[in-house]
Amino acid sequence: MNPITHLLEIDRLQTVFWNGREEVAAIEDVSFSLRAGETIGIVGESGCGKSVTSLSIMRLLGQNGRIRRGEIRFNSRNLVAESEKELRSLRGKEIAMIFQEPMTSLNPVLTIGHQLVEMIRCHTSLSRREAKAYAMEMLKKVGLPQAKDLMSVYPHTLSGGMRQRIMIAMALSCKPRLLIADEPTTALDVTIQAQILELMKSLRKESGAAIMLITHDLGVVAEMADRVVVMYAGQIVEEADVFTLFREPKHPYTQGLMASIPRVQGENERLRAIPGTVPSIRKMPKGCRFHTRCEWAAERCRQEQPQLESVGGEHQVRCWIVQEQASPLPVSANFQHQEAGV
Amino acid sequence: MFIDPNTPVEMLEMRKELLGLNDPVILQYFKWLLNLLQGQLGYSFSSYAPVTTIIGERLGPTLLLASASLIFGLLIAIPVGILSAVKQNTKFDYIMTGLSFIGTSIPQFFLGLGLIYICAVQFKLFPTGGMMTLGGPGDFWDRLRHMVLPVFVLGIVIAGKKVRYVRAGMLDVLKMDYLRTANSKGLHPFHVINKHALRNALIPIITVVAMEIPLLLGGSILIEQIFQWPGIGQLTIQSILSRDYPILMGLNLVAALIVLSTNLLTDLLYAAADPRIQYT
Repeated sequence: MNPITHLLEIDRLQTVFWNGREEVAAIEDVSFSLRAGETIGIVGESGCGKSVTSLSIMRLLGQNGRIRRGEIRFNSRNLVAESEKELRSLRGKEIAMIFQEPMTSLNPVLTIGHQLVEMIRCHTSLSRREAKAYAMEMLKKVGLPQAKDLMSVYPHTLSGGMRQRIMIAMALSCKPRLLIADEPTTALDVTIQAQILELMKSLRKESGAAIMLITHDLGVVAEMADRVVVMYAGQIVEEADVFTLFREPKHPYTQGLMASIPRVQGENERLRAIPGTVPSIRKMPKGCRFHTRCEWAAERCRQEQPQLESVGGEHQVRCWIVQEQASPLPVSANFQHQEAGV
Repeated sequence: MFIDPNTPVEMLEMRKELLGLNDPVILQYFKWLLNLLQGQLGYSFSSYAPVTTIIGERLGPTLLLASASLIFGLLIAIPVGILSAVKQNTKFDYIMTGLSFIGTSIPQFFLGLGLIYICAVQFKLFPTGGMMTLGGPGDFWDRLRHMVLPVFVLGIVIAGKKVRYVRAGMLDVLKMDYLRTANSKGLHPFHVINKHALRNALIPIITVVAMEIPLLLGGSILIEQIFQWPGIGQLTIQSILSRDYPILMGLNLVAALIVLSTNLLTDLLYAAADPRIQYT
């Protein structure tokens, strides 16, 4: 792979948090890369490190978090080593972010106009009036035609969908090269979800920004992503392009995720859930982190930790069973009729 | 009322009748109310001056002392509270929360007397009390010198209490999603704290600051007494000691008015600070 074509490269990233007594690793050995204009989906249950990964890129880990190991190369610059000032000039301008909760992501005591304009003026040399005109233009772009009235309005008067549109307008206003969308549709109604995804798709076409889409909704991934990274307990367990992943998921965890999607057609069978919960970051099981919940777990899985290894092309899996067998994992009957169409 | 035991009974009765003291209490109260509507609060028992004049003279100094110490206290509390929250669990934070604990728990009279002893008696930096030098120029600088110690004592106590509210409010706000948004926009941390965080953190602080106002305007009895400040608090003590009921009635009325108007002010400030609150 030619490094120049990559917009973002994350290399063996480990981010730790201080819990008052010791530092615990929230994510470990996370490596993936993103080409300009590409959309990558990061999937996993709550607490698997998806958001920590994105906040590490922005270096917004708060007082207790820090990156202990690894590199984040954005445009060939190592963000881990950059000064805070350098990073600030990247935030919002080159890398922008949309958050999960549109209801709480906007400041309740500042007007929409203020929040848009301050961001635009922070990264451009536009005058106040020019910035205002540009902000209104952005609002129209995200499907809010009554832009002029919206500028002087406070967030609490708007619906969740409108606020998320405003967040998107804000995030895209400085034409970032990378847009990190942390569960952008999770808190919205289903109809609004579809609208927001449509909006993101059309804006992606227009702006050419790469998108890092963090979600636990495989439907959203199937809809939007070119490539998918599946995370479990702070590690990447599988990475593949979206078609490969939905056609032949290799890792037992990915298979479990696929099986837990409710389907409309077909007989009325019980939803398959993965038993158990994600282990706490303080008490990681020895060996493969998924072995406590894996129905294929063998002795080796309990003892040694598997590495992320290629099983053909760009399809990488972190699983002893898959890596040991040349043939694909014996897919259990319940997983067999899973298709990409969700 | 103080009565000479040698006063003849008939004269006493005549006097009582004249003053309306033989009327039922309810009637006396309504008479007082009626007078109040005409701006009359009666006359002081001890100086025979109108109550309104006496209280009016004292309101000015108390207002001056109260507003100066409130401003001084907040000028300390707000920046220190913000910094303490931003640098949570650092040495600065520990020292400041420790100092605020001392500021809250130190008795005002003790601090006041201590400062008088050290700054006024030993080092003669400031006068021991009063509002201006008797027979002196009475100009701005002279008054300012007299204000330093009482304002400092009152302000320190206010700051000690409010630092903790500001810090707690700020800590709550710092966890909010919209602050993460503000940071992700690449704004300067100074701007994030003072524009995005502070305005939200100040909303709950309005209440606790407003609660301080009636206490201060009602006269900081101790401080005014210790520093001989000619305000409402000192008047209250003097009137209690001389059983000057007309003045005490007037002072109670003033206190009630202050409490009511501060509550109204608080509600109005809320609406001004938080766009989510609207009165229709």
